[in-house]
Amino acid sequence: MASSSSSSLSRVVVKSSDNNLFVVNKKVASQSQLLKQCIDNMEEKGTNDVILIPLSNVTSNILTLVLEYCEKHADFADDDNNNQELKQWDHEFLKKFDYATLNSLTMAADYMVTKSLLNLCCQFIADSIKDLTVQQIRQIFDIKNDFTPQEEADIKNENAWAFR
Amino acid sequence: MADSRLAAIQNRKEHNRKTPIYIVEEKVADEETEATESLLISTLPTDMISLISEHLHLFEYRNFRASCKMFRSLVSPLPKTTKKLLPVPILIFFTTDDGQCRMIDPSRDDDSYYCNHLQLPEYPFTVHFCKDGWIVIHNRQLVSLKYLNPLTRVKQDFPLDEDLKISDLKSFGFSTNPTSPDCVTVVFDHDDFGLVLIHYIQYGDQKWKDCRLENQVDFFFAGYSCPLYFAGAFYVLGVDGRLGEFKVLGDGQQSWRIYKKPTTRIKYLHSYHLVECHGDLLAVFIGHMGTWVEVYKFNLSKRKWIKVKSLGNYCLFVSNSSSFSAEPTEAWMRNRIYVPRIKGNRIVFYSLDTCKFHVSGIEDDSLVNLFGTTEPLHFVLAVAAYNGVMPQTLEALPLAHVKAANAFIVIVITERAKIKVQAPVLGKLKCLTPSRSLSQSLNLPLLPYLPTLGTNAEEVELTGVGLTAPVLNTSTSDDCVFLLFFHFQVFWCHPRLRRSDMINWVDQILGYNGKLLCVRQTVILKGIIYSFAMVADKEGPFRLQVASMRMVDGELKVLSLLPAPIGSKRICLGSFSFLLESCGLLYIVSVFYGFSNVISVSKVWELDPPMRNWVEVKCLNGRAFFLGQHCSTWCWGSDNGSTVSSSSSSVGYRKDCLYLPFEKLILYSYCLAERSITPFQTYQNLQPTGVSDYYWLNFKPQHHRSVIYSGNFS
Repeated sequence: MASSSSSSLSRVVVKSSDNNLFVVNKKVASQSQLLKQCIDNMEEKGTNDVILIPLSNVTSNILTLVLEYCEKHADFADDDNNNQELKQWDHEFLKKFDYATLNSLTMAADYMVTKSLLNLCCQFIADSIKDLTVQQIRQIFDIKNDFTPQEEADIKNENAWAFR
Repeated sequence: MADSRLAAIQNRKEHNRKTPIYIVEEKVADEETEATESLLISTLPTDMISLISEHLHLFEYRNFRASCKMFRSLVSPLPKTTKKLLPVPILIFFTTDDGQCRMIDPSRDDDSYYCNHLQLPEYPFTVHFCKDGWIVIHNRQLVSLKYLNPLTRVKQDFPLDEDLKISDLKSFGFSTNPTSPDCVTVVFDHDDFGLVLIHYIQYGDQKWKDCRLENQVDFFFAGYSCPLYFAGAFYVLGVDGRLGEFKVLGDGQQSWRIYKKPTTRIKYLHSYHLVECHGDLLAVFIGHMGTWVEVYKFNLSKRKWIKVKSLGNYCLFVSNSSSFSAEPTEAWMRNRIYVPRIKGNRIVFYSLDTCKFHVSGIEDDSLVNLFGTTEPLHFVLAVAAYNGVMPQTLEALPLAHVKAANAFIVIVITERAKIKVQAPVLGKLKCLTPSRSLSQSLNLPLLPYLPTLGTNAEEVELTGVGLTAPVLNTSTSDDCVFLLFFHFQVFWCHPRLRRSDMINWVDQILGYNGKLLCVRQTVILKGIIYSFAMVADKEGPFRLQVASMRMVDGELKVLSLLPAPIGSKRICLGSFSFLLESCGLLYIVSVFYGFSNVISVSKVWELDPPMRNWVEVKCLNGRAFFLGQHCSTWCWGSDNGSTVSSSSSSVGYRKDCLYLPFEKLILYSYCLAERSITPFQTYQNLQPTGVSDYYWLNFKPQHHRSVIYSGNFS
């Protein structure tokens, strides 16, 4: 009995917003607090059915990426020694996406409460701001300058380190 | 660099249009990718925008806020996390090839980046000194020497004398915040014969004073290293490794002495730096081109050098214009000495773990010495000090309501001196730092409720106050915890200086091994709070112990209890014990009042905190102790110091003497060697402001509760 209940819960099925189904190992799913919460709730109820978790805000392609991330991190969860390798992997992982994907990925990480991925995305975005002037930030992130020239001058003056 | 990145981003956009990197072969909504070619941060939820901002560095943070109105409103003017607020100094320098200003943040594991925020003067300038966010710059063309704070833009010119050979200025330093009225600025120089010549100026003075020490015979060249203000004196290293100590004693008197060098090895030095680290005075010596590095600690009370093998959790940042220590949050930064040298675009550091130089970010490779690294032409290590507290003069405070003090703070409760349980509000709490003008003050919010002591207690007594950082106005003070002890109940808060309206009080009961501790007289030493603790024991009366406490995970934890030395008396009628910190050691002074108000015995014990045995000392090694029931403090004394107050001005204090309150309003001095007691001064005559050397903050003398308060002894 006990074995059958544990085997039924070793996998969950996650449904993306465009109705694709993903079978996910429980350990991998636990990387997302949202999925973990769902699983825990179901386990408390003692159900033996396969759990289906619909994610109405995440498309298939983004979900694939989130799950790829979760899988990698689940692999490394018990291994403290390979932190450097994981860090490297994290870095490479985000590098290959365009900004649109990154944007959706950040949203998905937030929605699925995958804190480490969310932090990673935010850090990545923050890193891309490094070394940029205000104009360049506006250019890259497509931000409209809504300050008046006077306000702009005031802010510029306020921000500077005056060595004179 | 930024331009190349822009180009890369453009390229990537082009590239993405052709080959989307989507893994799933689902139909990709083409119009969606078109619309979001750039990262539309503004479409992200607002909480995510502030989350991104928390990952930004100070300069980027400001740029981010400046990009549009929405970001400006979403992101607070100052980073929420103090971690992002320049936890360690940054190195700002100018590249020799293109003259561009770049900066390196050692806490980030990457190379340097452009610093496009600096408003630089049109003329060439030299940075002579840097402390707490203040820098001293010299402008050769304009013949000006000024101090300024690049962030707050407060600046002021130093007066220029003919004597002051401004172009030769090398060893420059000030004691505290240069806008503080007790600030002393010194310049170490030497005359044509090689004898030390010290120029100094006090805040507000129009002219530099020269200190030519007539009877000295020693040659002393301060060289390029900047002096360090530590425990009331300026210390400076000479080119030969000897340590000079300069004190301004007031009344135009100065003292100058030279201590011997720590090792004989000192020859062909590359550089040498003095830095304060965790309450210790450290000297860092770097041999010729980094062939060797040695760190020594100067024991102030024994006047001896001790070799330092490890910095523990600390790291040092050394340069000729400024040196800092920091307790970095990143573990990999610990036990390192960052030097202002660069290889590639990365900063070079010396690790005390490996005893080798390394380049930051490429730790695997080590450097045998500093050959192959470059020193930037012009650089400054800067620490941003956010100091949002307005100066306040002592006159503006209702002195009569000063309730309690410890070595660094005073609380002012404007309502009443004794807190009644019935009182609905506590009145206003204020926290002040001691300086000639009490220039830092902080309003604290009301306590959520008043603690009661059982059921029979009519009144609640504030038995101690404390701060977990020695000063309020440093950049680290955001981590500072402010503590109020009501017997065994403690209230604490993080007084974020900028947002004093957002402080929340947290209360807890203080206990150790199931016993309640009643706390009196707190002392802060090396990040640990020590205090007298009375342990209520069912079997017997209160026993006097010394508790060491520390904030651990949002809770004040008692680390250990140490019995007070045998022979010390608990605080009761007829005898008093005082706890104080001096030269990095802990002291207990017990005073026994005999019949007819004569001090019969007085004993002093010393403890080096990791050790647990108190050692009785018979002399104070030239110090004078000032004892009070809320706080005690000390200063260096002299042979001819006064034991009787002089009305005109101070002549200093007698060494190996205790100054203590006794018999209500009279202050006595007690000479340890002679065992003689002399009435020193009555409280009424002491002026809390003006020229007197220190403050005895007076308040309503009921209950015979005295407050001793250290000002500046320079």
